[in-house]
Amino acid sequence: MKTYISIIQSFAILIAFSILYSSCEKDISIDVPEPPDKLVVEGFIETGSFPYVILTKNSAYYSTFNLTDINKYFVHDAVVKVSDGTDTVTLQEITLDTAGVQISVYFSLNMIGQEGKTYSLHIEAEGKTVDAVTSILPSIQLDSIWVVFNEKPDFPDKVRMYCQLTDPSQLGQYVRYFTKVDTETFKPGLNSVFDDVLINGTTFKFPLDRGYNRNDSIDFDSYGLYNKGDTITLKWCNIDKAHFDFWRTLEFSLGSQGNPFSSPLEIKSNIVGGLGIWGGYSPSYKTIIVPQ
Amino acid sequence: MKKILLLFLIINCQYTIINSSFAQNKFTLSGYVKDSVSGESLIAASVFVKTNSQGTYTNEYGFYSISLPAGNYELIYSYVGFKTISKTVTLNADMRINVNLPSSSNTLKEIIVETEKKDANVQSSDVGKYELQMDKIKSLPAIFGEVDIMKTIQLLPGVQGGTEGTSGFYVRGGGPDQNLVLLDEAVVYNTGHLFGFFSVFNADAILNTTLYKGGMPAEYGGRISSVLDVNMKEGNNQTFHASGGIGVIASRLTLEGPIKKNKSSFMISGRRTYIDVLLKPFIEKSKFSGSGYYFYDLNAKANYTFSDKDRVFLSGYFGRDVFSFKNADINMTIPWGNATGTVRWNHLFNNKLFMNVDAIYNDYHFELDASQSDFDIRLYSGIKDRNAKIDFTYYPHIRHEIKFGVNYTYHIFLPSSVTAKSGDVEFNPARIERKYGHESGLFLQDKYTISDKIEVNAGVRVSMFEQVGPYKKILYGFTGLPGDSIVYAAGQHIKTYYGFEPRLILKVSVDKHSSIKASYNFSKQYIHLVSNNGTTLPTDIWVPSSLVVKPQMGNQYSVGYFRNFFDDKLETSVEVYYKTLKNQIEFKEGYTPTPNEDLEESFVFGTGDSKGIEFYINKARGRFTGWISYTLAYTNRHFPDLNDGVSFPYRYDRRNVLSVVASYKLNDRWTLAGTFVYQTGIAFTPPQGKYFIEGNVVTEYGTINGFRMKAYHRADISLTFEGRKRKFIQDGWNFSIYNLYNRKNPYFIYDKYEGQFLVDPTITIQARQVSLFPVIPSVTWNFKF
Repeated sequence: MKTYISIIQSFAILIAFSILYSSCEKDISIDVPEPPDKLVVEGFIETGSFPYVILTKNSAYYSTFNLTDINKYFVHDAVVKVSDGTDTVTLQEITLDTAGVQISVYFSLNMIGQEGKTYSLHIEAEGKTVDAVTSILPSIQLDSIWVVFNEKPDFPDKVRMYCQLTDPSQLGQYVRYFTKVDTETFKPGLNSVFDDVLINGTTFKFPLDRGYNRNDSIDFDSYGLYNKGDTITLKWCNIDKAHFDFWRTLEFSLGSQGNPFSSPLEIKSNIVGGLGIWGGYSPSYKTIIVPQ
Repeated sequence: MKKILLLFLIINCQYTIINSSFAQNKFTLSGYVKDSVSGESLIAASVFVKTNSQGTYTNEYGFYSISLPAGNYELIYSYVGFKTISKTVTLNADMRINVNLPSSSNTLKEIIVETEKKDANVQSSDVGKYELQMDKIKSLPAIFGEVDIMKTIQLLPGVQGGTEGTSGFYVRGGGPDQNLVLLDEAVVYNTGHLFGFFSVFNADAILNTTLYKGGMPAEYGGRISSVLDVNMKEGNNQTFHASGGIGVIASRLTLEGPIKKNKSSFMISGRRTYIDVLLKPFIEKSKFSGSGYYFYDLNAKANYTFSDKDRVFLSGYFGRDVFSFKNADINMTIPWGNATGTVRWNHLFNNKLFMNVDAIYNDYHFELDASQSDFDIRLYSGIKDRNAKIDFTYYPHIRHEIKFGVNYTYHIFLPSSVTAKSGDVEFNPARIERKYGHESGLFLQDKYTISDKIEVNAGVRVSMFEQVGPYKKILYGFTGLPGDSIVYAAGQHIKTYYGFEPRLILKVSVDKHSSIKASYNFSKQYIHLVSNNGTTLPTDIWVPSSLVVKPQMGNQYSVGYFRNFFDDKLETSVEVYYKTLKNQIEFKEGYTPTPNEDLEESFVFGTGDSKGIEFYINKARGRFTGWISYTLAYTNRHFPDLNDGVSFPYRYDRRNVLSVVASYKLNDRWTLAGTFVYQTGIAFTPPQGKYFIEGNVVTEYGTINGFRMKAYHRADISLTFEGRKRKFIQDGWNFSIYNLYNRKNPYFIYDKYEGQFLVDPTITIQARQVSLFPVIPSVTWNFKF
C-alpha cells in the first residue's frame, strides 16, 4: 500500500507541475464591430480654480496605437459652455504639447469654482451635443493625519499614512482623495473614492494608501507606503453622488481588468449623450513631513 | 387550466375511494426489496405482475405495494446489477413479501443508465427523469480520477455544465440556483468544492441519484428548473466492510457494517484532498509559507429497523473547503462549506399507506478572516434552514399511486457582513440585516394508469413564502441614499407570496415499443442566488423573496416521442420543450460589490425563455453500452434595465450540445470507457470601444453576451481494472485520460495591454484566450475489504 501511495504521490506532483507550466494562452482575434462614435468628457471645476474640459472620442477597442494616434482622439473646435445658473462662459481651446502628445484643453479664466454652486456643462462638437451637471459641495476637513513607522518589517524605511475623520451626521458624504509627495503632481489612490454608508456620523481612524499613476509600474510589496523624509500633501475632496459613482465604477473596472471571473461593468457617467465625467471638487489639504 | 386540473384530481380521488371501497375481493401485496448481501433498500426496483402485465416500483425506502384481485400470480422482482427473482403467489389475503435480491456482480455489469423494466422508458409516465447508478458512473473517465456524479449529469440531454471542469449544471436554459439539489432530503446550497471543480458528492457514499429535468412531480417544490435527488448509502447490515481509494488529488475511506445484524447498520465515509500536503515542501521555502488549500467531506448514516412497520434513519454531511494565504504581513483564512443533518422515520400504517417523516437541518457558511498588522477583518455570509416534512404514499389500487404531504422550512439568510477591528476599536456596522422566512408547501399527486395505453401523473402543489421579522427595512429615497426605516419585530409579517402549482404528465402508448408523453409544469421559487461573476463562487449569496424581490416563476411544456428498437436494447427519444421564466434577477448596470449592502437594492428584474429539441439514443444492455445525446436550444433573457431593453442570450445559451458516452466490457476484469462532448462556445460580452480618462484606457462594452467563445469539445477515456477477489481484499485500478487530444478549449478571454500609456509610445490591446486543462492522465487505486 505504501508503494501505491508513493507512486500516486509522485504522479500527483508531476501533474500539478505539468498543469502549472502548460496552462495555455494564445492570441485570438475577436471580430467586434466598431463602437458608435461618442464624445468623451473629462471636465472638472474645483473651489478657487477655473473650469476645464478635455474632450476626446472613443475608438475601437482592439487596436494598436501610439502617441501620434492619440492626437487623433482629441476633439477640436468644440463649443464648450459652463454655467453656474447666473453666468455662462464659453471655454477656449488651447493645445499643450506634452511629450509629443498635443493635448487639447478647453478652459476659461472668466469663472472660478465656488462652494455650494451647481455648474452645468453644454458641449456641441462634431454634430453631437452633450450635457452634464455637477456641484461643488461644502468641503469636509480631516481631523488629522500622521504616519506610522515599521508597519512592514521587510521595509524599515517605509511608513504608512493614517487619517482621522469626523464624519458629519448627515448621510451621503462622498470623497475623492489625491496625494502628492514633495513636488510631484497630485495622484489619486487606486481606490480613490469613499462614501460614508458604513461610518456615518462617527469619528474613526483609517490607513490611506499613497496615490499612483496607474501607468507607472507599481511595486505591490511596498504598495501604499511613503518614504522617510517625504513631504506628503493630502488633497481631500468632497464630491457629489454622480461623480462618486463614476470613479467607483471606473476604478472597479480598471481594477478587475484581466480578471476572468469579473463581469463587464458599465461605467456610470453623468454625461448625457456621451461618456466620461463632469465633476466638481471641494478640496481641503493636509501636509505632513515624515521624519528621517 | 388550473380548475380543470383540480376537478380532475377530485374526481380521480373520489373514483379511487369508491373503487377501493367496493373492491372487496381485492388484496394487497406489499413489502420491501433489499440487497441480499448488504441488506440495503433498493430504490426504484421493479415489481412486475407477469400474469396481467402490470407493475410498480419500490419507493425511496425500498417499499412497494400492489392491490390485485384474488388469484394466482407470478411476480418478477428485478433491479440493475442484481439477479431477477420470480415468485408465484396465491393471493387470498393481504400479503407481505419482502424480497432480497442477490447481486449479479459475477455476471456482466451491463448498463450505465438503467431502466429497470426493459421498456420502462417507453411505458412509464416518467418524463425527463434519469436514474444514475453509482457503480456505473465509476467506470467512466473522470478528471484527476475523481468520480463525480455532477459531471455525468452534464452529459444527459438538456443538461449542460458551466465553464470547463466545473460541476455546476444548467437545465434547459435555467440558472444555477433553479436546481433543487437534495442529499438525503436536505437541500445542498453550494454543490462545489474548489470553486466548483469538484462536487460535494463523494461517490463512495452515494447509493443512487435521480435527476428530473422536466415533468417535476408535485412532491418537489421550491425550484423552477430541475431536481437532483441524491441518496446516501445505508450501510451493510450483514457484515462489516471497508472500502476506499487513493487518487491523484484525494483519498477516500468508507466504513460500513451492522450495528445489530439485520436490524441496524451504519455507513461513514470521508474524503480529503492532499494537494496542500504534497506541495508543502515547496511552499515552506517560499515567502508564502503556511499558505495552502484543501477540502474534505464527511458523510455518515445509520438506520434502525424497529419492526416491519417502523424504520428510523439518521444521516449527515459535513464538508469544508479551506483556503489559507500567508505572507509577511497578511494572514488570511477562508473556510466555507455545507453541513446537513436528516432524521427520518418511515412508518407503514397498513399495507397500502406508507408514511415518511423528516426533520432536516442544513447550513451553508462562507467566511473570510484576514489580519494585517493590528487590523482584523471578518466577512461572512450563508443560509441556514430548519425543515420538517411529512409525506404519505397511498396505494389504493394497482392503477393508482397517490402521494400527498406537507413541507415546512424556516430559513435564515445571512447576507455578506463585515466586522472589522483595528487595535482595540471594533467596527460592527449594524446596517446589514439578516432575513428570515417561512416556506411551506402542500402537495397531492396521483399516478393513474387509466388503461393499458394511457397513464397520467397529475399533481398540484400549493406553496407559500412569508418573510418575517426581525427586520429593519431601510427606505431609499430618490437620491439612492438610505433614509427612514421600518422596523419589524421578531416573527412579524413583512410580505407573503403564495402560488398554486399544477403539474401534469400524460403518457399514451402507441404500441408496445413506443409512446408519446406530454408534460406541463408550473413552479415557483422563493429563494434566489444572484451572482455577479461569470461562474458560481462560494461568495455568492442566497436571498429570499421580499418586499422588493418577487418569486421566480417557471412554466414548462414538453412533448416527447419514445421508441425502443431491437427488443428494447436500443432506447431512443425525441423531446421538444418550451419554457418561460418570470422575475429573473440580475445586478443592475454599474453594480460594484460593497460589503454590508442589502443586495436586493442592486437588483433588476426580467424574464426569460428557452426552447429546444433533445435527441437521445441509449444502448442499455450488453457488453457495449452508452448513449448519445444531442440538444439544440435557444435561451434568452429580457431585462428592461439591461442592454437597452433588448433581449440578450443567456450566459449558458448553447446552440448545439452533443455528448457521447460509451463503455465496453472487455472481460470480467477490464472495462474500457470513453466520453466525448461538443458544445457551442459560451456567450460573453466583448469589449467594443475604449476611451481615456486620467490617462487610463477605459473599456466600453458591447451588447450583453453578444459574442461567442470558440466551441468546446473534448474526449476522455478510461480503463478500469478489477482485481481478483482475494481472501480479505479486492482491489482495482482506474486509469483515466482527460482531454485526450489536448484540445485547447477556451476557459476565459482577457485583454493584454502591451506597452504603457505615456511611457511606451506604442500600445497594443490584444485579446488572449486562456485554456485551463491540457491532457491530464490520472490513476486511482481502489480497495474493498
